[in-house]
Amino acid sequence: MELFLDLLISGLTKGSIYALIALGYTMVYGIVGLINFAHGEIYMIGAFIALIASLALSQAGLAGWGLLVSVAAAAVVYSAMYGWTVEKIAYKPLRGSSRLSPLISAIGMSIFLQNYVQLLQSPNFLTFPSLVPELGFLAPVSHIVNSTQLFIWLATALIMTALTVLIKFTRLGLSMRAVSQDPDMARLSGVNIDRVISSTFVIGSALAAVGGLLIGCYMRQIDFYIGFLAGMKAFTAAVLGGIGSIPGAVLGALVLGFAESFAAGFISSDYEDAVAFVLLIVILIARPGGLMGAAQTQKV
Amino acid sequence: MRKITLAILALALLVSGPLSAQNNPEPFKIGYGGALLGNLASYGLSGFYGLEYAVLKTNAAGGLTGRQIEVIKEDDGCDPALASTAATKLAGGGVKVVLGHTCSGATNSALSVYGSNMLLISPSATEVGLTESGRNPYFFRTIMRDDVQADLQVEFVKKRGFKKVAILHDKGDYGKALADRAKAGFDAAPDSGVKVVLFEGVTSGQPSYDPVISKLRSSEAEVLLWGGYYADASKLALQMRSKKVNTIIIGADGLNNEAYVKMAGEAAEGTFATGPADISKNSSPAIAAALEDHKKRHSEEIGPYFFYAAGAAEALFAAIEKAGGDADLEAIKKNLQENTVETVMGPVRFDAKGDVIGAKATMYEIKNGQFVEVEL
Repeated sequence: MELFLDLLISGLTKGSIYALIALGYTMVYGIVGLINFAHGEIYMIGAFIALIASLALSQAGLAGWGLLVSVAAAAVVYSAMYGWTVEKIAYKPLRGSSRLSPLISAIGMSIFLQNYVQLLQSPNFLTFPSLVPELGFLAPVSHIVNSTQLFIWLATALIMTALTVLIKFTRLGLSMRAVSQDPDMARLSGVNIDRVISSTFVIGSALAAVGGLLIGCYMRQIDFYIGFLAGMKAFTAAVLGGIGSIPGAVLGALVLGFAESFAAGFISSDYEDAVAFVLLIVILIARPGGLMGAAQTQKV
Repeated sequence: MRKITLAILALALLVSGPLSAQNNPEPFKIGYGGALLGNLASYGLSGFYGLEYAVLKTNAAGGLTGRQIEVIKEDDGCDPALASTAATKLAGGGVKVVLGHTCSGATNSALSVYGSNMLLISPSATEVGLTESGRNPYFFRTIMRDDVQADLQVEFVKKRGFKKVAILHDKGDYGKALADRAKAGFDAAPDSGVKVVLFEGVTSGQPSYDPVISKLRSSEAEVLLWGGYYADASKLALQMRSKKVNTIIIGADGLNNEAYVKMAGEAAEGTFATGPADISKNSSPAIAAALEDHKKRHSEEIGPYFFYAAGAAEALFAAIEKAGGDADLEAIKKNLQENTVETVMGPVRFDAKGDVIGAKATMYEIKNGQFVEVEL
């Protein structure tokens, strides 16, 4: 029973980690119709900026919650700038060309950003500080849940809710939905498409940066390559949940997290990836649009 | 005026290049393949500095078969795919004998390029099959094999009286072989009372090892044998300690690295790791001289493979000298197996499989952030 509870919590944490990254994938896809393979790299850059900022700011005397919040702010702002720039350089010039061109451009961007960080920062693993302060009330159960894990869950839930509200109830959200349904018609009715798409990338990248910061605190080490595996898993989660759907990305990520966790726990960790991907295939055969996605026929 | 002088100087240089080459015989080319970049570069550089030391010494004493030695180095980043590219480049560059590669997986893939046309001596590739399989006629190593490390781990667990053991590996060539050997060691002695309660492979580079740590907790293992490298091990250690799982970690030479302590910090304390015997601790004038020389030329630590590489190079040079060059690999092989060469790492001779005779492993423990040699 204790093993079951332990695995449940592991699965929840793993799922939330995937969800933090999957949300950005799914939002960009839902609005622009582009699989942004560079998203995993933005997450990695977010983690690096958080590390640099935390070193600089703790030198300046900040600590505890103040440090966490200011590091998060730095990572979010800087990564959002990266997201904005990537869109302007790699995707905007290709808008309107075939669907495959921006996909290739995205893969190129991803490789470029990886190598760029490797050359500019370090090819080695770097130690990441544990920035989330220990919460007193968690002390009795600290062997199963620590405050970083709790924070990852909360952040995932909060971000999912905020995004849903943003898309359903705000003016920006309305424009996003309009652009997603029919870009030409949206332009004719006075929506500034460029600005809407830029905002989508900025928001998606900001989310990735929050993910980078929290996951860094949890894993306690980062390198230039962490974006690849995490991005792959998050992309899988987004497809599983129905790419384009915000709650779907979280649901897909949690299903993936639980599947891996229980497969590792009750079968063997040799098979955790195999079980996760068999599950993906089975779900996609039964529901081609993903768990919460509408079935569509005109995909890549 | 100045431009003209420069032009004349440049011309003089151009002319003097080929002229001086005519006076001296062609340099003797020796290859070095290994991780010179990436996160395992500290291992690869350690071996390279060892080779460099032996080469400088030999060149100062007149070179090899009367020719100065030139080292051609290629990076493989410990990646099997890069290793076969590096090996192809070395083969194309007219090299017949190579020192390296750093990691077992990379060595294996490089060997498939060298085949029976080139000779390789590794100071650090420990995977058993490289020599045991009999597939590589011209492969030698000066380091102990993984089975020596795994046997030492098994011995250690028994001696310290642990009863429940978990074994995890990273599914790689190196890690899995170590894990399998250790498991076989425990299974072969059921009356020792030691039980393997968990045996699994985990995916390297994962964001979270939580599920397997949960399993480790419920298995109530007292010690965890880790077959793999330090990057995953440090993540595992951090996540285990943050979940209050205090199982003692025992690794092999893939964990035996300063970087493990740096990355795992507090969580690294009390970790055990086997490794090649630390030759730099032996007191001999040759070793002291090598240490002194290294300190003068490089700011980095000498690393674990310096003396294994220097010893390999010296034994190799002696065998080549005796064979009169690198044209006849069979003659070099015969010399390596029949003659004992006194090198900076001690006497070196190889057995019929290509393993050095008398290779030993040592157990270390991390105390106050330092690897300290411990008795079993």
